[in-house]
Amino acid sequence: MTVFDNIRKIASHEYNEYLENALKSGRLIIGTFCATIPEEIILAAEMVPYRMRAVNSPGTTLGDAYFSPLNCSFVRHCFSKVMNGDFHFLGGIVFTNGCDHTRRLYDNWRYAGPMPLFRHFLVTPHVTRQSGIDEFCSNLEKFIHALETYFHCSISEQKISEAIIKTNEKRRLLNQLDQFRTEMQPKISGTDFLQMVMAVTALPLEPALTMMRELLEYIAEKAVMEEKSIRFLYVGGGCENKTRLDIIEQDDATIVADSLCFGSRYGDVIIDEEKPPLDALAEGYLQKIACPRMMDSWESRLEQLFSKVQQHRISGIIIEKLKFCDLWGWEAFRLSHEARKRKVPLLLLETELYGKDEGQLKTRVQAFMEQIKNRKRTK
Amino acid sequence: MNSFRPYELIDHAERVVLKNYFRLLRFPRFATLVQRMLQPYSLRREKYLNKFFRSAFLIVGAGMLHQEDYRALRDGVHLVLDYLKISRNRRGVDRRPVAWVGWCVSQEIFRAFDIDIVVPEVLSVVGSFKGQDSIAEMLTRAEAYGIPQESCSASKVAAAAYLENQVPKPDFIVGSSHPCDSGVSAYPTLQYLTSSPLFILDTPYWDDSDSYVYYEQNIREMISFIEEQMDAELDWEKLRIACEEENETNFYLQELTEMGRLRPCPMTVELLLLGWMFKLTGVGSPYLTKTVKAFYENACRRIDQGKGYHKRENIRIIWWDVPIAFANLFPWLEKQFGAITVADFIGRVHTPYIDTSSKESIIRDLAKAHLHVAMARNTRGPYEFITAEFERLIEEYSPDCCIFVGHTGCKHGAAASRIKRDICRRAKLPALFMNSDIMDNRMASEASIQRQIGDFFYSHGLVR
Repeated sequence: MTVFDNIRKIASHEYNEYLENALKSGRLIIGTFCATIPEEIILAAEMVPYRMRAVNSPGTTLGDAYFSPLNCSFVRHCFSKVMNGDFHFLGGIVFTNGCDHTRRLYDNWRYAGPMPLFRHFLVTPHVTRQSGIDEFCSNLEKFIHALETYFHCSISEQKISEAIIKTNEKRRLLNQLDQFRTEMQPKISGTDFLQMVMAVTALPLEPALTMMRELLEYIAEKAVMEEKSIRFLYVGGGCENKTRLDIIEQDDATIVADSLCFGSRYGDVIIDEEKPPLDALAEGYLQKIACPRMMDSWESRLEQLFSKVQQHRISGIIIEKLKFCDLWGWEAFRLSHEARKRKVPLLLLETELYGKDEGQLKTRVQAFMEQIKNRKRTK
Repeated sequence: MNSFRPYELIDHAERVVLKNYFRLLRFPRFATLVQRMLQPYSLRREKYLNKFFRSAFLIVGAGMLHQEDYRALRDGVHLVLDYLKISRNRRGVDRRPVAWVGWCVSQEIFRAFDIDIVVPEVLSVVGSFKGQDSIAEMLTRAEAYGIPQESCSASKVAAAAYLENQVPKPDFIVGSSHPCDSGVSAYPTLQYLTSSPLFILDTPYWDDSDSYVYYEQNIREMISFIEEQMDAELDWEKLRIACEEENETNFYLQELTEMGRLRPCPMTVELLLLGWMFKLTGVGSPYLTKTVKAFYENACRRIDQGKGYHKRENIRIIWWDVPIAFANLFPWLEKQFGAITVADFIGRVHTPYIDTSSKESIIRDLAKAHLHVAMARNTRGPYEFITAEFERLIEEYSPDCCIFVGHTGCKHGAAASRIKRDICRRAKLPALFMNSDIMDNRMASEASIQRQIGDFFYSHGLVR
């Protein structure tokens, strides 16, 4: 079994042996619903942060009883799994006002009453200016207080600083791995990178670091993949369906860069280790996460995205947007305009999180690839 | 697709409809008579000949209001006319700065500057004065530009209004992070489209003292932003006067809101909704106070006489959602079924008093007041912000049923529908959850909405 096989196995299930071992050793697992929830604080409480996901979902039936068809399929799948008891291993759960759909997860969770009983709502400001950072900082203090009070633990500044250093290490390793797919002959595919981030966000820190180091060694020795003529930048929110990326990479294309929650966006948040830890966390999480929920950072997101296009010789951008996601819908509108202005081909895929759309997807992607190839030929 | 002339919808709303209506209101008895005579023609369906005035007629009750309320309406209509004049007068060169202000942002502070205010979402209501299809056309255009289909239609119209030259270009924009993701996404997009500076009021999630302090800080930052854009300082005296005027307005509207508890109901929800619309176009104006004071006094008189607003009060409705904007259904409900809406989601006023004794107290209380305006009060936080008020309404307003519109843009509302449904079930209250869009008749037409409501009443034995 190669290190990749292990990663794929972990990524395709909500629970794994490493979490089980952590539970056996007395560590609690705390679920988080958005990239803006600092996992460093959970680590500092000597608990395991776990990014919530809907992999392995049999459907949305139980979620549909609480949510409406107007809500995104991620929350409906996820809540179905919650009601089904799939997240039995969680000791607590942290929500945030990431979007209208996920903020109501907190409400429906409390209303329906499934375990765990520790449910905290961390309010994340929508602005990156100083008052927003100060507010987030004080909300983080409340989060710490809630953890300390409920679990009778102590979260010192020292512990948070240590957690920041360790998490930064994880993110730096991730960024190093990311470099391997941006080369002209990549060593890691976009699908594998997504799987890797899915895996490391479902693992305790130590095995995650070990796995990433092993992967670095493995990749360094691994032969390069054959050069593909089309290099995609994949953009979206909490996309976790690997089948979709597989289909895109089946033919003469590869995803060499992304801006996804389960992608390189996770590695973007390197926290300043010199500043007071809470200030650094508040600033880092608000200012570095390229998410359209932030209302005053469109320009920096735009710059970040199109610098990737330049740097990595991107042939086209693919945006995956879940149906009924307003945040990504409007972001896609703005990005399409910019892409047109800058003459970068862009394809918007509006999808459900899981579903039988492979055939349709394949046709659309193939047509898009044809379009890109024709452009290259006529240039 | 037909193309719109610049400012076509605003022009029509102002020059063709409201200006003439304003003249008509000079003779309230005659105005009432005309509206009642036109009622059979305006109430039921939009047709070729009535489409150019019907929507506006429905908003002002289509003859279902009392003559004394029509008399009072003139000052309010004057406010809307002034607002529309501003919205279309930006073609000249000699102009004051224009600020676009989000419809969930209260405007007292802007009124204290020498500035013209445009609320881009207002077009989604007054645009339908030229016929329901005008708004459907605007929405089709918005989608053709690439604006996401499932977004709130108010946000879509706001963007299309700019792209289709229906509103003047702003010198700066102020938006807020409530009530929904459509607003969160639309304002950065408006900034992108117009290349104008944007300030965001970041709305807190909770209702505690820390949240108010944070919002207070936001308001102070907004004042600095406006001062910077205007190169002028805030006129605190003007702000104080506007706040005092608003206190009085809110007092009357709040009283009217609570009068809905009485049986027979001495007020009609149309008065509250008109109050909301007038506040949107002229908060802090003495015209507004004059109008709502008259509404209030008229209602008090009816209470003294033991009379309800309408003779028939067969069904008492809680309309716990945004009203249908492309065709105000309340006059039809009243006429057709004797169904009185005793409480609603948008018109209800529960705004705290603003202490105008000092600059600090004004800002402190404005922060609270802003967070208690329609929609902000209920939608920005956890579901208890919706259900606490909703449960109180069920307890105190003696409803016979509840109606939820199911507006496409309200994803957070949709995600709480199970909770609302369970509350109705526990209270043994029939509830209608529709699938519609308040501005988009392509989603569900007026006829189909009327059919849904009619079927609901019949199937629950509310009418025979």
